[in-house]
Amino acid sequence: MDLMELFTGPRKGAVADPRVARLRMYLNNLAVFFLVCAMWITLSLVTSTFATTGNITNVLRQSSLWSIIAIGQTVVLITAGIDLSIGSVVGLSSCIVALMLNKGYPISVSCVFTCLCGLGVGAVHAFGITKGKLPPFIMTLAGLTTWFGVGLLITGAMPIGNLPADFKNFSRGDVLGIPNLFLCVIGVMIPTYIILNHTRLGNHLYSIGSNRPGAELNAVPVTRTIFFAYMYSSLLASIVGILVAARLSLGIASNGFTWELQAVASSVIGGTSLFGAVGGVFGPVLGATVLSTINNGANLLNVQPYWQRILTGVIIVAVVFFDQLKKRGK
Amino acid sequence: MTEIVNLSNIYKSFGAVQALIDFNLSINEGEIVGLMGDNGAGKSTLLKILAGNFLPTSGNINFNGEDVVFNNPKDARKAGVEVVYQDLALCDHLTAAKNIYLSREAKRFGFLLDHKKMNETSQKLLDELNSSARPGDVVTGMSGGQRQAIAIARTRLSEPKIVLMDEPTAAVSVAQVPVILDYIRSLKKQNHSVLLISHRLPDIMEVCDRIAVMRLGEKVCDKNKSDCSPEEITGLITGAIKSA
Repeated sequence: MDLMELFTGPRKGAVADPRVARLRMYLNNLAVFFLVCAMWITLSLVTSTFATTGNITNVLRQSSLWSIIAIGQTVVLITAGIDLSIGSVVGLSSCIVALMLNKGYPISVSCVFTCLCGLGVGAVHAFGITKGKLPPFIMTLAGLTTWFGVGLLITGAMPIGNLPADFKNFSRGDVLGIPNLFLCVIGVMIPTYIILNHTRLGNHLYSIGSNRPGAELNAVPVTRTIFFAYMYSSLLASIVGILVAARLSLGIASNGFTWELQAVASSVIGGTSLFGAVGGVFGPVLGATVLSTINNGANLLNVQPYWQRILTGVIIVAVVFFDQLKKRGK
Repeated sequence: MTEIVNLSNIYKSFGAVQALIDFNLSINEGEIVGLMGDNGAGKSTLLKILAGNFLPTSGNINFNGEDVVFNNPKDARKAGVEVVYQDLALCDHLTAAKNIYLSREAKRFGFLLDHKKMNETSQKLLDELNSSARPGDVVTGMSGGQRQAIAIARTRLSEPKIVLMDEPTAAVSVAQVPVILDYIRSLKKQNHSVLLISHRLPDIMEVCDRIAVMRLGEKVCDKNKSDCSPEEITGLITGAIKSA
């Protein structure tokens, strides 16, 4: 095993050692994991408020929401696409579920209908990208403004409150001490892991991100696979919209504002390549935990919250810069 | 002899460009037909029509006794057409085995990938081709020969009626050329037909039964190998000889 490969990737012309490639992915995740640990230890030492049950639960709740959308974003990034509409879909979904609950529909019906709307949104994006041949960036950027507008329209730009207690309690509840929101993350990670690593669909997602024309020549159902990616991402955004509405007891179109970038940042911190075909389920969850820790730490340290947005931008540029270096063949 | 493919009066145009003009070709069972021509003669277009990537503008394809329309690569594959593309159509981030099995992955329990079976079969197929490529390795960084072997191994997953090969010896080392030519002969022994596109006249002369030459979208020669000389073929390719 050539240890230099760990840092530089395989040398040009050399055969890539799959063990090293796998190890690199683990090491990246391990590095991010240690980063999280280091941040948690530091924050525990310098603040008296970080290492409290209430605060840690709060960090985990926030990271749970971002983890779920980051997993959806990862599935899209694997196909070499991008979903910039996630934040708006979160907001729209929180509005839809809140409006339905307000109208007296049962919680189950409201949630299922909201998820169906999410699938519909994803199908619209995928239709534009496959049939309309629009770049994913443009299609979902249009989605970002469109779905935000729809959310404002159906609520009259007003926050929709007055939600049933059972609904609100879900986001604060736990099972055997594990927060419900974190259970939702596990509930998303397991099927996503199976899909990506152990199904034909997963192999097709990676093949499209790796070489789309080649995948087409090999009879991979490209259109169907891309529909899956965007519908899955939007579905997860809808689920997060429901969870946000429950957590804040509020449906409002600005819920999830700019979270598409949190999702991209979480995903790339977790080792996903913006150029496609590289990514898994553990990375985005770790990435989301990094971001929510930064967010929380900044609050506790009385740093203005605006810095967190600036930092997110810097992180995206830095991580993608290094990813690009790798791609250029060192 | 049974006729596997019969192309009649095939035309294909891309906008104002006429890529194929009134093209006719028939290939029999177990026959190796070499297709030669200069760059832009229309060889790859013809291959892509047979592989289901393009629909002809007009004309008829008869495959194994039936008139067919290949709307996509899946149709063609289902009918029994396997292809080795010039650019190999490999996914660099996937392992050799996943590339070989791309879009026909082995499954267990109806939906889970059967990694073990894919790796074992791939190993066997790569061994048959004397390739050092390992099934579990990702394709990034593999040599031209290893990549070629993976693309060829794909054609072994089914029992094809015909294998179309676009420049299979162009990007491999000198030592690997005979292995690939042997493979082509073994296809013939198993009664599969082969359409071999190549720029390398020695390869064509060595394995083919019949040679067709294209020039500017038209077929200018279609003869048994024994009836033509290398000089004649070269002349036909360059246009020094108009037709034969």
